[in-house]
Amino acid sequence: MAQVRSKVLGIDLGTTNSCTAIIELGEPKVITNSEGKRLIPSVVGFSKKNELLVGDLAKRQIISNPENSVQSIKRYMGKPDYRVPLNKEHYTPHGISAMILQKLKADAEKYLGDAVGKAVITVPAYFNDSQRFATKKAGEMAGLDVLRVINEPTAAALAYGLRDGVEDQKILVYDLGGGTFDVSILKIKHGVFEVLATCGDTELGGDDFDQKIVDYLLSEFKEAEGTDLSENVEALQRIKEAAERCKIDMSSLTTANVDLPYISENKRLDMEISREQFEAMTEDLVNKTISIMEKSLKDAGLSPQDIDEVILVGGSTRIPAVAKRVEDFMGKTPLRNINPDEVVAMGAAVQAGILGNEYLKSSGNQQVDGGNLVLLDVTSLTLGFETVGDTTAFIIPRNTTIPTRNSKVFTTHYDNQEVVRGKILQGEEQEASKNVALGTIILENIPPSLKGVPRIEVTFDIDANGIINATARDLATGNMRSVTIERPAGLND
Amino acid sequence: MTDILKQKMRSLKGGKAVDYYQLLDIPRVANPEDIEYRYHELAKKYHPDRSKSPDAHEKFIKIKEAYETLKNPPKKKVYDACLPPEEKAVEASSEPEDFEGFSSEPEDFEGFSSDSDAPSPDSSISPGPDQPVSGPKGAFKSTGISYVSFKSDRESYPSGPASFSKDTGETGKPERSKYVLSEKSLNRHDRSKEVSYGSGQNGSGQNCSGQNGSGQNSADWSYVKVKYEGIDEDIDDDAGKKSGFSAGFALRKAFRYTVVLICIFLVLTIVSPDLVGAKASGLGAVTETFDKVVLLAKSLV
Repeated sequence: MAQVRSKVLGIDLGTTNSCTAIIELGEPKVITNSEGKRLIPSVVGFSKKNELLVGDLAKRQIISNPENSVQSIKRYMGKPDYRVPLNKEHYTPHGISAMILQKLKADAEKYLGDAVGKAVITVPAYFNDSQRFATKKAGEMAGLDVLRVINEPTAAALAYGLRDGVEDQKILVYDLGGGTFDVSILKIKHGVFEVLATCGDTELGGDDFDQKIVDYLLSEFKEAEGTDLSENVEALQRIKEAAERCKIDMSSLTTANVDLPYISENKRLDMEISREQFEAMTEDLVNKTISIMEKSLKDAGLSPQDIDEVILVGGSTRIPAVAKRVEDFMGKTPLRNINPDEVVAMGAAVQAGILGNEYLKSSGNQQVDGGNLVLLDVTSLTLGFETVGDTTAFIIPRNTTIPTRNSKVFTTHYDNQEVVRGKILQGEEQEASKNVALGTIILENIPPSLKGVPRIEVTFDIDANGIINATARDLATGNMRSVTIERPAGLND
Repeated sequence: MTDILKQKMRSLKGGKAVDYYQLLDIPRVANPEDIEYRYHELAKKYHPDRSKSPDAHEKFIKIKEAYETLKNPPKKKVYDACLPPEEKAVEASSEPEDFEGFSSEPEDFEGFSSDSDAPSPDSSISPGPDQPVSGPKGAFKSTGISYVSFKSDRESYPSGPASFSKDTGETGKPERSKYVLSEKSLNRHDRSKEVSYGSGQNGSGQNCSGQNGSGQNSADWSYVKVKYEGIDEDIDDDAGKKSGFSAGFALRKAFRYTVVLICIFLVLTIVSPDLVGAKASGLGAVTETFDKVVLLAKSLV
């Protein structure tokens, strides 16, 4: 008997906006929150009366109360030493995210009339291990059992793949969100969603487009009025908001107006920006996304013609220049009838359905159970091991389907070396210190011998959850050392 | 080339090699479409998202490894070249000699003979004479006995390091160092492994496909010995399958004894037909003849 409604939420925890969905009657449905909205701004603040505000309420008070408001916290996820001063306290980025998740959970419970305790949360595909860990931690702090942290573009593909007539297709998901950019290429066949390649930039998103407008407005204002507003917190916040609105306006208008009276003392900021101007200032950002797209196609061993469908995800893909450039590069009109803000949350709900073996409506309108679908995701960053001379020995290359395992044999570099110590590294750099260190493997008690004689096998294993397990083994003595990734203390608060 | 090498590394590591075709349960002649379809079916069954079984992780990793090798034409080519002959029967004609073809088809490279399901190298290489013999008939069926390798009596091997050369059967203590690829540079550099891949890959990738003969110096294959010493701990889960493996070996041995007996019989028939009894036909006659052969042998001693 098919369950009417799943018990697991799919949550898109975005940089600017968040969204929640759940499987109902075999299909992912976006949850409308208590204020009648389907998206809530990822903003947290404290009112002057010391009340916790999340979402629209928090966003509304940013201008009047900027010191007690936090936005775009996702950009700091996984940074162990980053703390947000808020309401005389210092919060971790995942602590702030937990507040957003708590709000989403409460809204969902109100909508469903029932308690929910489980969730699948999405992250940018290019998030590293600590960023993923921090996201999971945030979910736990919000009282959610996080069944899986999945990649945003992959989630979008899952939601798309349940549509009618999608079979044996190669799709490219271009996901330009508020703060991050991802490209994923997938093959959908026989109900298997196989990620072929993933690439991205965790510091490229709609915020950067806004910043270009802000910079422009600031410099123009300085030139015209001789006043530098970049130190004026309140003015800056107003300009930021105006810039975002201006960017959104330019998606439908060719010229947008920014009018901010009394921006500084009795001066007024009143300017017009044309779409051409905007496109000229943001060209380098768009170019960056195109070259990342190119790289992912190369990684997948495909050319633009091999792609059957291009899917645009994330609010920033509404920028006409972005859609146009993608279309030109791919030689194909991206799919229009997909909601770029909601598709990720819907995909997260689908993955929740697969994990819970729920009934899902698939192509041809058949009720299929989740058993007919599986997502084969990849590890988006290369895993390596630190060796002598600050070099990285790559062990699991990026774009390897997970779960996976691989090992390499290492040896000592001086005579009678008793201990081998090396960092577990995530990243593509040949220089070890440029990659992110996830932990350290120390293997002791190596029997004394000439350098180059001992054989130490280092094995990395990644499970379906993306959790990394590292083992070092002395092949001569059989001595073994297992390391699960240690998290920086800052992530455990 | 690096890819090929890596695949080889993986297959050869510790002398373990899996028959990927058996793992995916597809015939060796399967086309890429079939291979992909099968992989997708198995992924839906064994991916840890789908299967609650605790060994789903291991199982999926193996299936994935098999698919990743077989879907990639250059890797598949190298892999196929290193693969032991198929344990399938060929239809026998009346001539007993034809049975020879069974174990030594021209394309039958003697590749690595064991696999991760039958990992104990010693039991696979030198079966004791006390192995159970289940009769020659069984040797022609592959049913139930998985991943058994056949050893050929032929002299001519593609002398790649990936082959278990035949003397291993006689010495019983195989020279492991020949079989597993290692990183040459381990002995020379202690820096990046990437470097070592580069230096080790030239001949070794081809060796397996038999193009480069034995041009490989042993340094490239040198770490295996050590590897074997350490490997015993990690095979407990496979231990249960050993018996199947030995049985397979016994079958082969039995088969060989049968062939030898038949040969002796034929020789005797030619040399002294009256001893054998030209009129002999039927089972009774055969056993009678056998007795005579034994008597003759005794009298010769």
